[in-house]
Amino acid sequence: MNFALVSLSIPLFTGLLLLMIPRYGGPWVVLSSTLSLAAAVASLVEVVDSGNQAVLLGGWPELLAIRLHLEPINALLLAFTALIQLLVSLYWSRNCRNDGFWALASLLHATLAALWLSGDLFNWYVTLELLSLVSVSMVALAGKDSIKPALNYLFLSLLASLCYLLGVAIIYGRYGVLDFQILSRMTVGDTSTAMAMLLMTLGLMVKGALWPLHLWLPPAHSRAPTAVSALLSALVVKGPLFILTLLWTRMAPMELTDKGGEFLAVMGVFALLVGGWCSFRTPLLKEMVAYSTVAQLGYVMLALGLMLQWQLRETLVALWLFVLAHGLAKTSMFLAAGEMQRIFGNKRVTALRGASQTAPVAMFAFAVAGGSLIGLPPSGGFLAKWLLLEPLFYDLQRWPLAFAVLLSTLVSAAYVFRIVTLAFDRAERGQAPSRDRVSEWLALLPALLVWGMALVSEPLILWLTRVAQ
Amino acid sequence: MNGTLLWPAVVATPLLAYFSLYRWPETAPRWLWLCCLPALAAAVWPPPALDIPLWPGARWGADDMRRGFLAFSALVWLASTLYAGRDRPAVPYGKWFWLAWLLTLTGNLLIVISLDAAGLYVGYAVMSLSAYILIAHGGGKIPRRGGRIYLQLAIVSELLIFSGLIFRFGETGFALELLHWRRAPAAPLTALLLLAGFGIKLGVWPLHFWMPLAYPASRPVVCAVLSGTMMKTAILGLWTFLPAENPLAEWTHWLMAVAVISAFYAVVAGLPQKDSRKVLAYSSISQAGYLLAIVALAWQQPEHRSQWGILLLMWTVHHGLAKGALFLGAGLARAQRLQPAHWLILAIPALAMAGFPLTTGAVVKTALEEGLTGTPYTSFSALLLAGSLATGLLVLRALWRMYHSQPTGDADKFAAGGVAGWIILSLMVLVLPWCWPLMDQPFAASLKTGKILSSAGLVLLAVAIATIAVKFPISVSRRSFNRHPGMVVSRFIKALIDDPPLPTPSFSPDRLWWRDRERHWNRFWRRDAVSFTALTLGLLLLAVGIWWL
Amino acid sequence: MSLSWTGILPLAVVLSSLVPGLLIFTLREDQQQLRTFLNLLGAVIKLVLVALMLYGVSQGAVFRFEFPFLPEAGILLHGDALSLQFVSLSSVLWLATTVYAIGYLEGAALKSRFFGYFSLCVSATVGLALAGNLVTFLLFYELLTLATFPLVVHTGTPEALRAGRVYLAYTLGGGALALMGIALLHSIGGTESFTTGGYLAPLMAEHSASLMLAFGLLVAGFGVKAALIPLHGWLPMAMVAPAPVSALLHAVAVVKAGVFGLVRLVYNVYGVDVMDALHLNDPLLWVASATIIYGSLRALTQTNLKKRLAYSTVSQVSYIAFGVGLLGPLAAAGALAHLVHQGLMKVTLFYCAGAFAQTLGVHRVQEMNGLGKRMPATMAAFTVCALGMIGIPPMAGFISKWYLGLGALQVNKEWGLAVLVISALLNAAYFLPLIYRGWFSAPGKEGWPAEKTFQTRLTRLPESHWMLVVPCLFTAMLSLLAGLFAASDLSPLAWGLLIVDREFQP
Repeated sequence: MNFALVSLSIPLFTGLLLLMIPRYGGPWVVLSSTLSLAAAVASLVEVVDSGNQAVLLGGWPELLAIRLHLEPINALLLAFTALIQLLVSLYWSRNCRNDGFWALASLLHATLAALWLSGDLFNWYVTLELLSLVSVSMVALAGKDSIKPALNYLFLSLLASLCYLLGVAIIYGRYGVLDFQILSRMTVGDTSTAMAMLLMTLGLMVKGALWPLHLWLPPAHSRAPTAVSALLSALVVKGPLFILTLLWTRMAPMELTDKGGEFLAVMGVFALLVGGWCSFRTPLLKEMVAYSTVAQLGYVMLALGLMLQWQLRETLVALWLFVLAHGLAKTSMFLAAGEMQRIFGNKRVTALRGASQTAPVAMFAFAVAGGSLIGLPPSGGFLAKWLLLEPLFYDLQRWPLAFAVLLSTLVSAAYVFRIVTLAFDRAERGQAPSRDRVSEWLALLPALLVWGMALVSEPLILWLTRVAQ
Repeated sequence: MNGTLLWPAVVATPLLAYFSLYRWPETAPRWLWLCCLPALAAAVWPPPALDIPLWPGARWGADDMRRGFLAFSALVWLASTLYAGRDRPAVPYGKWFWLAWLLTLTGNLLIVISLDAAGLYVGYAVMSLSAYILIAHGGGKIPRRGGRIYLQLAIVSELLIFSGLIFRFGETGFALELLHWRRAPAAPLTALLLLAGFGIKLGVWPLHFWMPLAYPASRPVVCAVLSGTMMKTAILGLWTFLPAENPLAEWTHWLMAVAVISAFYAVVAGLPQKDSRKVLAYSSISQAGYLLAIVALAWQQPEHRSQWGILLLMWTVHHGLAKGALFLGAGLARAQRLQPAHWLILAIPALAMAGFPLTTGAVVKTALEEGLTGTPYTSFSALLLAGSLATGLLVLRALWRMYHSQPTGDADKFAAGGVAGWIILSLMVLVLPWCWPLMDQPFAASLKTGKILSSAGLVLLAVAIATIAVKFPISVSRRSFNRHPGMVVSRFIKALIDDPPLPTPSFSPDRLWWRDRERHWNRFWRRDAVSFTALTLGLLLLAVGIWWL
Repeated sequence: MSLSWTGILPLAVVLSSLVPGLLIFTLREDQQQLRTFLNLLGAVIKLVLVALMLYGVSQGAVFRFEFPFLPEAGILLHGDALSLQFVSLSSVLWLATTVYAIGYLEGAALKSRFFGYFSLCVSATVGLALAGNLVTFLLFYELLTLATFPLVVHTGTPEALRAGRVYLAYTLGGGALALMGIALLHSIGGTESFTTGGYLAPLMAEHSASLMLAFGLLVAGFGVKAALIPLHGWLPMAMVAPAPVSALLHAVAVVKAGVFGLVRLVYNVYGVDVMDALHLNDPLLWVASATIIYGSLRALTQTNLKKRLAYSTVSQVSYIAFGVGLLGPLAAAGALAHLVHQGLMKVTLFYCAGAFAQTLGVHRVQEMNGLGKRMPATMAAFTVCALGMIGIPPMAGFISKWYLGLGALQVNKEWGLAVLVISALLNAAYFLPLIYRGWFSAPGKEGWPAEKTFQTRLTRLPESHWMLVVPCLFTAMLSLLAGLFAASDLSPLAWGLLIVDREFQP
């Protein structure tokens, strides 16, 4: 547990430090991310060896204390957060024009770490709030353009938090505890629990930009600075998703899981199709990537829904794989898109004409990341999709969902290759004054990692199957 | 030397001879006739059959029938190559002609020596396609039209034979050698396909219409080989592909009818023609009818198949030699004014065709007449007599037109070497009844007094009629014979290929209108994210709440 | 993962073009000699390795490379008779196409990119050929799509981009359908390696509905690349790519990959018995027959030479699907032989078409008059292969048609013979006019559309660049030999019979 706490504290202290002394933010954050990553990996090793761990803060007894607990999944997510943070800060340290970013980024990292480690409903509420505040400020860093989206994000976050809090309150009123480990043994399927679950779910859906409550995400993620978009899409929306997953898989009563799963699965399918379509049609580059996030989150909803309906372990593994693969791929995609937007000086997709010649590495990064999002073998996205597809064929009733997944693959292919095809245009080419090769390669790095997941695919899947629960 | 190389040499020598044209372009054509010699040698001293590692089942050899075919084919080709090699026409032959010539020769020989079905088909295809070049290479409208019809029909015939070939493979249990095919019965459809396919090449009515167009368009040497040997390969194909047992059952009568019509219609259509090559072409069509009749008769009497085979061989040899000689003579007549000696030599094959005693013509006609007894067609001997008369008339007409096709004034003296082959061919029809053992019995029968009188009488009658026709000419429109439904089809196909109907344009949606709709929709939904989300939240709360509770 | 030479060799064959390809990407445009050297080095090394593999198999070695990927479905490269046939074809044709492409692109831009993707394309093809189970096959199938897309859009014109989009739409759709089918099969019975006679027989009792659906999905998925109607629309549009790309795509890589997938599916996954019991071959047979006729009909109406050849490909490749669908040993042998024959003949035709276009600017059929005089060797190669396509003996096309016809009779489907004959007739109708125009027509009075003189240090042939002409002659010669010597042990037909022999053993 200690390593996990260390992994949490390092970015926290770095953040506070950077608030006081804003200079050299980039190198500090890179350093702190590296150390945090090392600590997280150590904690992962520890938890795999020794089993789940927990710590009760303040020495209070169980029902009263704030509990932080560590499982393999949390440890994995800790490491994942640190990794993404590292990759993004490596890139952004070359391109950053706003010193306020670094402190906020560290605080974001710390908040997320706290979220992963939390063990009770109210703690989650706290971390969710912090997360929203930090994210909103980060979105607003871009300047005038991003004020309105940031404000919308803020309003909706508040609304969502209120919903969530109401749900927590109902739970507390009904059961008298907030520790979700204990709750998971206590919940029964009565009206108030159902009400609470609904409220919490809807609130988390708003925060996590799950269709149809996603409307704040595209403007926010597209107008934010590049690194912020990457962090938001890759990490921030995963927080509420994590909570949602744990709520439904551990805490929800048996009578409710069926309906909940159905609801989530249907919403997931819509997210895939509608998000994909919007991504395909939008003329702005970063908005396209943002809608792609909305679509990909549909996969997560679908996986969760299927898990709840049929109790299949593979879908849960698929879910976590999606989270990992999507995180890496989206980081790369946003970094590449931002890089190209900077090179060509234009926000529109059509500015990328001829990019295969003028900005080849960045375009390659974009394409490779897109390949994982589509689910082309042997990328990480493919692994996740395979695990999701496989149980869909057991039963005749599930085949329509399989075809929905097929359709969504085609839609994602459409929006990714729309860009890639434009890049091969030789008739007209945009102006490409300054190429920063190192930045382009840094943008490519996460995409290579997500395809590199193929090298360790079997061990990874087997391990996740063992530890996912 | 056990002769294992002889069979490959038969096929390879013409191909290799082509390269000599590159080395000695002037003198090589004069000696190209030498590449027919291995075939002749193989006919006289046949080595044992040989398996060749080419296509599956390839096997070359010769049984008795094939020896005969090989012999006369080699001879006709030799004579024609000799003639063509020493010919000095206004438009020279050129390398492409010789390439096609040698390929056609190779194909022809391959057909004859193949003991497996695929090999025969390979030879047939090579021969047919190369012959197209022979017909059409001159350029100009008439050769092109003749070539076009020939090619269209050649392709159709090849495909029909291919279908029949595959069906026969199926019926014989996928045996590759033709030897086994004789015993396996054939379905009527198979027989029909093969009859149609080979019939096109053979030139029986109603599949004959390419011949009157292709022959006049080609050089006489080409006609000589077309009619002398290539036509005969079709009958060889029919004989070897189809079994002894009658595949047609009750429809054999129809086949016989087609043969008879072919024999007589051709004469009627050929008599009014002006071009001697066309007349001779119609004569070939007529003779094709006889060959087909022999095949039909053989099916009527499967137990006497070997005798019918011998008759077929004799008739083929007779017609091949005679027609080859006549065509070469026609070519000679176009090139120079013929001396009386030439006319004398030319008369020999003409008489043979008419069935004059002491020629092969009389022998084969006698044999056929004798063969008719014992078949349901004994009454056809009267038809035979009429047929002889008709053939005689036709040949006389051909000679008459040859006479008129001679150039006026003194033309170049023809090199003596070139006509040697022609002379040999012409004399063979006289010599063969004496030398060839197979012809002994019918020859003796043809020398009976009654037979001599009837044969000679018919010939004299034909001469008489011809003389009357010359004195009192009747003008008959040739047009009705030159039209044929097949030509319309051929023209239609050509038009279709030259100017194909373009594909119809596809439906394309009105993009601008859809784009506008989309813009309206987008603007509607982006107006106010917060209120929409809040609204949706509320709705979901209500709806899902009711559902879950 | 074993480290012996039998384990490394399959991987090495795939890498022998992958590594040079990646290196070529890094080269600058002006590093011409290094690029040519890398290209040819890769091609030659691949040929040597394939020859080694052939030798090894003849001595009884088993080549197998495994790498874990998905649970119970790892990556497996396996060299059996069928894969070796395809790999040999690919390697030989890649060498020829590389030489051709170097000559064709002389003076063009972006050669490093082109040759880089070219090499990747061949790596994907070879990997696909050596694939030992469905998952590996799918992996390389998708990689093939990705590698060929930049080649199709290489010229960067609006038509090329549109063709690329259509190409992607079709092929990615096909890949997704194939993925569905493979996931379905995996869920009911796991993914085993390709076995002679198939491995799905035990599942037939309970899961026949799933097996049928999976077959449909996989046929649709592979059928996109194999250009079965109505999934063939991308092929004629992809003709805007440069001629070496068309040659490679249509003869070796993409189209053959699709039909190779069908062959594997029918013989090594489902097996003849299951196919027969579930009557799965009949729909495939009907679709293939319809494609044969439709492709030929559309070819008749095309005035662009490459588009005509494209529709001819649609028709001819379906012969292989037709042979597979007949489900008899002779038909299978014919289909497998035709895989090689059609590759050789079609690649020659495309080489010639590209040579005509590059040397004289001849793109349309009407401009072909008199080509025989101007470019006799190329036109001769074109003639030989066009005649082979029609099925004129003794060319290779006749051998395949013969065995396919026999195969149709063997399974009592005589109408199949009619399909072959009608197709031959249509082939004659659209190929013979081209040959006629080339040899028997005089060229137009205005001369050639865009005549080009080549500057090359090496011997310049009178008709064109030697790198454009020699590959044509080489592959034409191969197709002639394949047909002429079909009875020998080294011919594609013999190979096909060998594969079939093992497959159809009771």
